[in-house]
Amino acid sequence: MNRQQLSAIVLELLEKETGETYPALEETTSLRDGLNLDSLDMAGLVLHIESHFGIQVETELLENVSTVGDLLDILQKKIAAKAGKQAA
Amino acid sequence: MHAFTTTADPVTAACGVAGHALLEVKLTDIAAVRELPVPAGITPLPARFLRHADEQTVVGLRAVLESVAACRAAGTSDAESDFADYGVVSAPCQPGRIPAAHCLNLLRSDGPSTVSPHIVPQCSLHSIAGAVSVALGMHGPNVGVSGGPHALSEGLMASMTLLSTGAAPGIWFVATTWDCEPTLDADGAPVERAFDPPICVAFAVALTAATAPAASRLVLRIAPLSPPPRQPRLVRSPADDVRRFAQAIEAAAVDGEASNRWSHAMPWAGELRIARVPATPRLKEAA
Amino acid sequence: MIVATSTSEPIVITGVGAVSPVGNGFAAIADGLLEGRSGIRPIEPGGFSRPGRQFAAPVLEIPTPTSPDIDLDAFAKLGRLGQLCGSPAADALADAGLRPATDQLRIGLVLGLGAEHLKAWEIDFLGGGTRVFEPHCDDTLVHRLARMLQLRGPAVTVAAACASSGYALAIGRAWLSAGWVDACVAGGCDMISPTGLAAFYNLRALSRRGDDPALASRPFDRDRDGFVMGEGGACLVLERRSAARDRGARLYGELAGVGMSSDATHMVTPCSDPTQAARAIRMALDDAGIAADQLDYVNAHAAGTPVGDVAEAGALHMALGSAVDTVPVSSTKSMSGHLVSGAAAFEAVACLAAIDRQAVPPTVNLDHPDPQCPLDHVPHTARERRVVVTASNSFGFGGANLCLVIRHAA
Repeated sequence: MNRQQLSAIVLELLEKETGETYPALEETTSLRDGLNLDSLDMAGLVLHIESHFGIQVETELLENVSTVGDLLDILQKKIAAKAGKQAA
Repeated sequence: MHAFTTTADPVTAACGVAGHALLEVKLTDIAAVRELPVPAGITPLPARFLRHADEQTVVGLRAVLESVAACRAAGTSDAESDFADYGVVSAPCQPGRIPAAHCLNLLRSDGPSTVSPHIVPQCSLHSIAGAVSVALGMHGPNVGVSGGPHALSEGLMASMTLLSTGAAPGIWFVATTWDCEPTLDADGAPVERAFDPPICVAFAVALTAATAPAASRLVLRIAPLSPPPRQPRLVRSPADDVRRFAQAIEAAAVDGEASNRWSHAMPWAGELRIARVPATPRLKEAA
Repeated sequence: MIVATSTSEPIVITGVGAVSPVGNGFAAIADGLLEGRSGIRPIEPGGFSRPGRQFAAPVLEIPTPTSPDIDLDAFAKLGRLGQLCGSPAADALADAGLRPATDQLRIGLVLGLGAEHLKAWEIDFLGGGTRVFEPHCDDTLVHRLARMLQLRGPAVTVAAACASSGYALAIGRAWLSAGWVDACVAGGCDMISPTGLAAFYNLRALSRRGDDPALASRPFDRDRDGFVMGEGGACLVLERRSAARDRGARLYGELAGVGMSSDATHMVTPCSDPTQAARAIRMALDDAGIAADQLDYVNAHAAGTPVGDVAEAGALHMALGSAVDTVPVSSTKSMSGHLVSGAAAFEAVACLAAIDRQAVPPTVNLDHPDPQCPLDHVPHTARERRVVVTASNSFGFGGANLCLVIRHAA
């Protein structure tokens, strides 16, 4: 899955969590200030993401996430790690 | 063994009544209320504030918003900051059942990762009070009370208690309940009923310290000791209790005789009555 | 003869009942907390597991009341959540010497219970029931308990999330001060359940440190990652001091001050501005008529969440001023886990234990205090010292702030 596809899925899950519609996600958009997500919104969004991709995202990783790009970076690593485990 | 006894004298306490609104919303209309903008003059709610809120929170908060707006329109409070020190007591009847049903179904079918993180903050006994406090910026104590058929008794008792401590100059008391509780299907969705559709009833009233100016006063009378009933006082309809209270409060602003006929027996030895206080400004009714 | 009028007379604690992960009963709990004993252990969460070890702080045994006038069949029918309240309530009354029940007293009952209905529906549903889908309006636990205990006064359930049982104590105290009751049982409880564990875990509020459960609850530690779910219940009997003295009751302490406020900013996250939390602390100190430097101990709410512990440290700095450097602060949640609705009442018992034993319980697992929480910590082991005046903080979802001042009863 490429970055763009990943971003599109995250957008879909974001809309599922918030019930709102958004334009395509920009990598530099701030999750808090740009998308108006608080800690409770983030907990719900990450829960949907974990369930969709079958991954676990540690809380300490999320503490350094402030933009869409930061979140996609973590998710790409987690998805790749899971694929690597499954291939092994 | 103990060696003290109590007096036979009744104990009374009083508080003022100012600002109130009764709201009745069919279950099928609550989705629309969830999306309504706040009344004019009130700071808009944070984004998605009510998205995961229980139905009684939606209707209870709306009742408070409309009552606050009515207070401003009547000139009884000139800014939101007038209620900033108020506390909130919410007295729902079994809050959160619809979200709980949905949550439990998902837990059983898909496991713990599907349990919403919103269920505890939004569907607990305190949730309505918390939502009102946050929505309107009220910094007095906020608590939820009861959750059962005696919610009106317990809620008014708690409200008058908090006023007696001086912890806040006023308390917004919000009673919510269903007139005809919804029946849910196995998926947790409300079953449609053409007859007796579920209606969420919410009544919000601002209670103030007894010494503050007010249109009328609520008087709590704790009667002398008597053996408690073997069975709890039968509460046929918590919704009717709330409606009668709302009607009595409204009547007190107009007609002292009508409000004098109201009383509410509490499940312990005590009762509530309303006494009309003459010659104070009449509040405009909520829309 | 008690004259039922309002009073500023001190309100004292004459009976204590508690069941907890660190022991049952006042003496066992005092021993456990002062020995730094953890009640956190691996659990099997009702069949709803996740990858990795699950852990919590359960109550291992709920004692059956021993007063002969209590209907044990009614006690059994309360279910686990009801017994977690009913057992401490019955014990507290017996401890206070207020059994058997009498028609001659108005004894009130106030219970802090944040999610009684959610728990009842969950237990029924997981047992194959359909209650959650059906219209019903059952009597609540507080009224069933009042009947079981044959109490004649007002009976109320209050909820303010993690501050619930603290508000219960505040209301019981107010009833006594107002002359509405002759005595009052006040406290609260909570129970570990699959939905509760899952909801808090998904909220990212729970510690995910499964390697060694006893190390997971680390309030104020720089490596903390959330709280550990606990369960239990605690109830105190409150009376006017003159009445308690007249009948020779034991005085555990005085509920000397109460402060209450709300952040009014968010349904979950504490406000980054500690003003309202500090206001609750200051109100309690003022209500008790004491200065900050007269405090001998603060039992912190601190549950071990990254944000919450820092917020509380800020509130203590704002409320106590320079005294914050010399007032010992510890979090007993490091040992008991977070009893949620029952936490505040349990932590009031911890304050009474400190007064009784003249020692401050520790915060265990506090290996590296977070520099953002600069307080006079009590890491690992109890600190013996004079303890006359204590304060206990509780901060709950919905922005509820509560502080209780508990002191030695003169």
